[in-house]
Amino acid sequence: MNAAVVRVVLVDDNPMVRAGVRALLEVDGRFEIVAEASDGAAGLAAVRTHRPDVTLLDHRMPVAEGLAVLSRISELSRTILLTSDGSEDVVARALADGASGFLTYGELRPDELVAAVTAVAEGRAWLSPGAASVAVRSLRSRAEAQAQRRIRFGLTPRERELVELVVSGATNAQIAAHLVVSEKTVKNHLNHIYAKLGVTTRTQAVARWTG
Amino acid sequence: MRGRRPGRGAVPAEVPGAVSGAGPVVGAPDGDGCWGPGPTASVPSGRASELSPGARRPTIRAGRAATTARKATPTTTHRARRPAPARTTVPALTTAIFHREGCSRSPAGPYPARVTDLPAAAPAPADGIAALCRFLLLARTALVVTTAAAAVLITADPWPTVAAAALAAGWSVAGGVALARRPGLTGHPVPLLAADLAVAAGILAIAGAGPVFLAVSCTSAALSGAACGVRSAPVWAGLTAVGYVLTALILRSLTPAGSGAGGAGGGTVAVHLTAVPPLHVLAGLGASAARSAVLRQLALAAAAMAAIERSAIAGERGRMARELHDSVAQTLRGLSFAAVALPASLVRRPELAGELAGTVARAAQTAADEARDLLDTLRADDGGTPLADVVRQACAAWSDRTGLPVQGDLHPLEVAVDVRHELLRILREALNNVERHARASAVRVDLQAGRGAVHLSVRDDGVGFAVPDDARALAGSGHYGLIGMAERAARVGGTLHVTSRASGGTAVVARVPPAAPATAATPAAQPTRAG
Repeated sequence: MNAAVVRVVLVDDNPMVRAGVRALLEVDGRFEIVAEASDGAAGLAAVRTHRPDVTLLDHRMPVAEGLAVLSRISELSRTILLTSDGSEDVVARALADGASGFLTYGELRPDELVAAVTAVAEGRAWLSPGAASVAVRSLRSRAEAQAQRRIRFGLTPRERELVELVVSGATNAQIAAHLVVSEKTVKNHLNHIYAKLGVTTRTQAVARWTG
Repeated sequence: MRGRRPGRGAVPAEVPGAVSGAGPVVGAPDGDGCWGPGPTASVPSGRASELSPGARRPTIRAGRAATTARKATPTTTHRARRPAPARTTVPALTTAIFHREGCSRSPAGPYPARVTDLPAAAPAPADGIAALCRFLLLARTALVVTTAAAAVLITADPWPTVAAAALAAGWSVAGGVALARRPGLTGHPVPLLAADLAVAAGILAIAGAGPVFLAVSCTSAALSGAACGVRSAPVWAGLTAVGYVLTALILRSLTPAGSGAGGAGGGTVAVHLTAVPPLHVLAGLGASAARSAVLRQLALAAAAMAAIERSAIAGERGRMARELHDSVAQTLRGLSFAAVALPASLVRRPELAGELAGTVARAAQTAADEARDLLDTLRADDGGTPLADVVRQACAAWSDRTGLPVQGDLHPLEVAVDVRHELLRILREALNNVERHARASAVRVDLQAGRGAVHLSVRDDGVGFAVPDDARALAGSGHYGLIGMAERAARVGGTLHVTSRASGGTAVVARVPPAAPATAATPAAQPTRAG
């Protein structure tokens, strides 16, 4: 039975919260709490020592905040942010720093905790609805910003197609073959694209376009 | 081997810098350091560097760390058992400095003033109008007295004028006194103005249309304007009409009917006299303009007052919310998790059920304690009493409850609102710890200012610092509270120093700046960076 046990480290500054989370996980029977810590620094040390499968990490803690040690902890263990602060900034930083899951107490149902730890232990991700909407929003706004930028350059659909091929690393000959045009035409297009992007080299063009 | 004790394998070396136990006490300088001048003085010189900010060695840092504080135990007992050269009877000395870095538990910056710090509410409109009327009555009194004096000097028969002036002055003074006592009288202006006009008529009957009547009738118009605004324009108009009638009568008496005598001189007097009645309208208009200015001013003041009050309430509410979140709300969260797990454990893992039930009970007790503590703090401090007095009251209340004497020097000093709040919470927690754990016979509480900081110290002569083995016991046993106190001090840019010796008492000293720095976390973090 213990073969499939998920080893967990709990990092939260409130002993009662730790006791409650521990109870929820232990009762399920598939989890073993190998260590508890009450601040970020102690949590990092515990993760280093115990190498758990999953770390449950609070954000607001004394000595060292959760996000301050998240990137180092997430190198050693899959990490779920389990915190009461589900603000956009915290979610974005947590995901950027390698969190595999994000749970906010306000939205957390007890059975969800077990499901989230299981999912993350299996290599999947788990976001609470609030965190998921933050992630979706940030992806969407990034895509929109990119689209806005591209429209601004005023490239024709054909030129966009061509520049995407350049970005993918194709040579002029490959592009010509792909688009069934002559290399001369490709070069003409490229010169127009350079002019519109305000650059002089292929590398600059790629950088400007993807930037 | 499923460890319920979270600190399994948690050796002190595991968390570098987070905790180090007390060093061996070799040649501790004084036998009763607890009652010495200060905790630093009671620390052997070999350890002094750890106490000073900017120490090279990592200082003892504790978060709200159950694990952290617990780990001090093996170290402490271990070191205590080590034979100290020459003085084996020296008790173990546990010293800890707590401070915090990079914690965003509280937003930086002082809180807005409390509601209780505010001046009294803006005066009511009636007060302003009454004051305006009192001013007019005073002016009228001065005017009629002057007029009466002139009449005595000039007129052959001054007595009617003097009598009229006395009546006018007496009525005005009485009115002024009544308005001063009951400003609300301005809410019923019609009977008062009617009485005023009746007095004016009486004066007219006594002394005729002389200067006293003119002074009284003009101030009557002004009073009506002050009390009712431009709505009283008919009063001004009526008085003006009366004035014209009287002027006509005066002119007729000066110029006998059918006679052309008086000629140019009589015409000049007539022109001057006809300019007098409109003074009633001018006085009324002026007073009603003053009235609206006063009312506008009062409305602005009331609005400003309400805005300040709202922001103060919002700040206070924010702090309460944070306190609630950090204590009761979190504890209840843990309790609800444990409560959810309890029925499942009966089915799946009965061996855990008893322990879980204990967790639920403990969490409920903790939440109740935290809520009571929060409420006590709210009640204890109205924000308007000097800090030393509040500290004295808190100590007296605690002393009454526990029967233990509390002594100490409480210097009169004031600190920022948030610093005051944290200091009082630290005091409360420290006294609670003494009550719960110290088994002390006396307590000393000092509040002093020194070197840009405020020192609040609580020293007891009890059994000293004994850290329990079980992490769970920490929260209930006061060490959780100790860590919370350290956080409170750090929140306003201060530090908490705890000195304790086995069976030698405990000293808790909070050193905080009188006003919290703009970013409270930064100064607290500096010593750590240096170390």
